[in-house]
Amino acid sequence: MIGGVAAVVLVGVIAAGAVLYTSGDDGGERTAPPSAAASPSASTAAEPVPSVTASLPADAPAALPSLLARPVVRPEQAFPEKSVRLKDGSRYQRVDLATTTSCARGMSQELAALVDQGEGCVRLTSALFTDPEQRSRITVTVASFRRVEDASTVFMMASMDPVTYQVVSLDPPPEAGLPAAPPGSAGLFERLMTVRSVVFANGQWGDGAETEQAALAQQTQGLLQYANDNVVAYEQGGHG
Amino acid sequence: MEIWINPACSKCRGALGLLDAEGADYTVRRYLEDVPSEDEIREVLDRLGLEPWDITRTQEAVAKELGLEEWARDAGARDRWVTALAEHPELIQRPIITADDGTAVVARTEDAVRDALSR
Repeated sequence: MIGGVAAVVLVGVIAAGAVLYTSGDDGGERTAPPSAAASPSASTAAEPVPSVTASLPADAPAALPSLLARPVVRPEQAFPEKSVRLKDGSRYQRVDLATTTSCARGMSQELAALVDQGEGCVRLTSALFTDPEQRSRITVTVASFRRVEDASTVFMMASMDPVTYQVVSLDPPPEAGLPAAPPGSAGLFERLMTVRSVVFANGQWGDGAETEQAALAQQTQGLLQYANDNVVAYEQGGHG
Repeated sequence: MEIWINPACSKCRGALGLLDAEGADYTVRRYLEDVPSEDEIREVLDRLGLEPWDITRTQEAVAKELGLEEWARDAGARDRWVTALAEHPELIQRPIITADDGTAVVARTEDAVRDALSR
């Protein structure tokens, strides 16, 4: 438990709350240790994961059961394009896409343990994007859950401690011809929550630079919003 | 059966998914954390029937720093390559599956994974 808090009551079914965390930022926000930013450890003993439970608010939408009865968003619905142009005019290339129903494989031990407390993650889909200059490495991940409560718990914990409760960034595949960000590079961690999914975005510069954070944040947040919009469109009843 | 993976590798996630779907009994080795020794790399290369430069990710930044593109690719340079892989495991191509018959495959395609399962 965290400070004796065992129950978390959701304040809304659809929540949003991207928080910027960067390595080397000591301006009052939490600093992400570089070594944890790029490669969450799986071999070392993880800290005990707090027991967290969540419940739906009394005013949860009546349509929720029918929305949850639908299959979770598919990879091609969350990431339909290989070349993405955002509303701000920025362009990105999707260089990799991975999906699994064994969600634990794409997340830190601590996040996997947290997910394991609930009724489970149904699908984890990650896409790796880069900008036209091929400088950025931005992994956007959609984790979809059986229950809204579990998505909310993950969203809350990842918002509180984005380094411990992180999803794994993708490295570029060899055919992309791009180097992976050096191990331990600083990164930005952002996330949004939809109906039953949490959308994560991890942004890094390919050379591991810690400069131009505003530009990296813009790219990371833009792609996060792009994927989030796709997921929301489907989860709120669209056909995708 | 053992599979060497990096969780950041989409092909590794795909290979694991297929192994699970096929009900395979396997052990996962996260080789960036549990780094293979030079002897282990040599053993895997023997099983693969490949040379160290065949399983080296030459696009990685450290490969460029080391100047791997300029390194000789012959028997005399083999040990140097193996040392580089052991010292910089991020250079090792993945996933690598060591099959039950003692051979190994670089399992970057579904067919390769199935090939390992069939051995």
